[in-house]
Amino acid sequence: MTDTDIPRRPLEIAFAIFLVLAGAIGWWAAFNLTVSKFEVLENPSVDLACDFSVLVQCGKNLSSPQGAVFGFPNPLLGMGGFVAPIAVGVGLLAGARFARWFWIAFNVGLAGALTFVIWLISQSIFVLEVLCPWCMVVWLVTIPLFWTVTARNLADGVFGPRPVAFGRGLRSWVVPVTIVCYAVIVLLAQVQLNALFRL
Amino acid sequence: MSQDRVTKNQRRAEAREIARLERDKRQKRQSLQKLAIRAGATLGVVALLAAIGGGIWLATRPEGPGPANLASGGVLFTGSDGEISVVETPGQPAGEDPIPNDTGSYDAEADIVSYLDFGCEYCKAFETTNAAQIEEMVASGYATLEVVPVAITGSYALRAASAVSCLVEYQPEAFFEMLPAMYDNQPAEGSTLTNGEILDIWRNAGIEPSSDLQSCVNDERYTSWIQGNTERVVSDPAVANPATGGFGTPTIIVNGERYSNTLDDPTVFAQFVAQNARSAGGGAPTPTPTPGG
Repeated sequence: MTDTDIPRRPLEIAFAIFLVLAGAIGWWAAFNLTVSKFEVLENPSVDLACDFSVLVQCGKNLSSPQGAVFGFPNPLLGMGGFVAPIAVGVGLLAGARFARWFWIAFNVGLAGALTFVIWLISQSIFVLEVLCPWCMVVWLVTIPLFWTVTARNLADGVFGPRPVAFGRGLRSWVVPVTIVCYAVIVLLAQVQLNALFRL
Repeated sequence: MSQDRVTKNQRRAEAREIARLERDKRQKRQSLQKLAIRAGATLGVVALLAAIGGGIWLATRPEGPGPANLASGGVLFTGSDGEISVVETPGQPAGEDPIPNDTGSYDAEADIVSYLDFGCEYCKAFETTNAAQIEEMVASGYATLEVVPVAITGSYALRAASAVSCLVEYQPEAFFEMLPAMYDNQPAEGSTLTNGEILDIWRNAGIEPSSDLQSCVNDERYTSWIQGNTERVVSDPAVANPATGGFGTPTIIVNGERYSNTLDDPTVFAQFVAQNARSAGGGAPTPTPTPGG
């Protein structure tokens, strides 16, 4: 599937580097959220470094029920999950080839991550009415991770030959699609929270 | 002959080279075109979203002056001989800093400043315990009361604070009927009340909202003013809780001293006011919160 004909190499390398960077940034954000959660647990009235104002803070998200949907703090999921893109990216850089089922599993995982992030965004903006800095970093990397990997898999025939052309098209549209996703989040935050005028 | 063949080969190579260069040029042009299409489409969609957002914002948040009688960010009540009156002010002009109240001329024993959030349970505890005695202190002229409405607990608090600002603007004389009613009917955490339900709570407390007041409440006219007021208070170090370094509600300040004792015992608060009264040596005039950034 992933034949290494010469003209596609730069794209593959860029893809691998992107996976490592995005995974590392997401992991770093999840790590910081986890540490903040510890600080809140140690001292519930602590003034967290990521608490800037009524609007921009992470204390509210961390202490909310939405911050621990599965019974444990969400950032623990991130600390585990973001290792996956790092591992895949480093593997690709080292010349690894992955089986089709592996790419499907990776894609399914990212789809789950995106679904979860969309739910978290809606909770944060519409229910908690807070923009949480580290959480937003997680949103920012999860969205392009999903689109990039999905487009790559479609274009490489992981999901069969039919969507290959569509995948190639999507791959060249990943950046615009990501920017539009960001713009939609900004729009929601502005309409619901008047965010731009309260920063 | 051989010379001829070489030229032919050279010519062929030349033609190939030209074709290659042209192909490169075409590819470069095509990839530039592709990039331009993507950049253009992105800009177009983002501009469309910005226009939608801007339209909604313009339609829902007209920049206007803040509510009347709240020029300091709070509403000031004074009293004598059992009568409470509101200190009338114009609204805070849009984009300008609040004008602090000067309580020096009222000759009260205590200046009480109270930062309230209508969704906050601790505010409910404090007000349920103390609203009546504070009202008496103000009515007798013993104390002045400045109530600063803020919203830190979410969207109900924001609409409620906007509604209360409307009431302060149009029917401030009803404030002390409104206050206990709002806390008695405070929605449970996570739930909310509609604007109509807020108006009904006032009606049940014997207030007849004028049509101006009703439309102000239903328009949620002062939500953005309340947001601004809240940001200002939250970032004001003078009202931050030294124990946490941050602002919380209720924050009650009597002659410049923060009340940090129990919320459930009226005698404890009454003692606190008496201890800090001017005649008891708590004579420093209340530093009014400075307008912060």
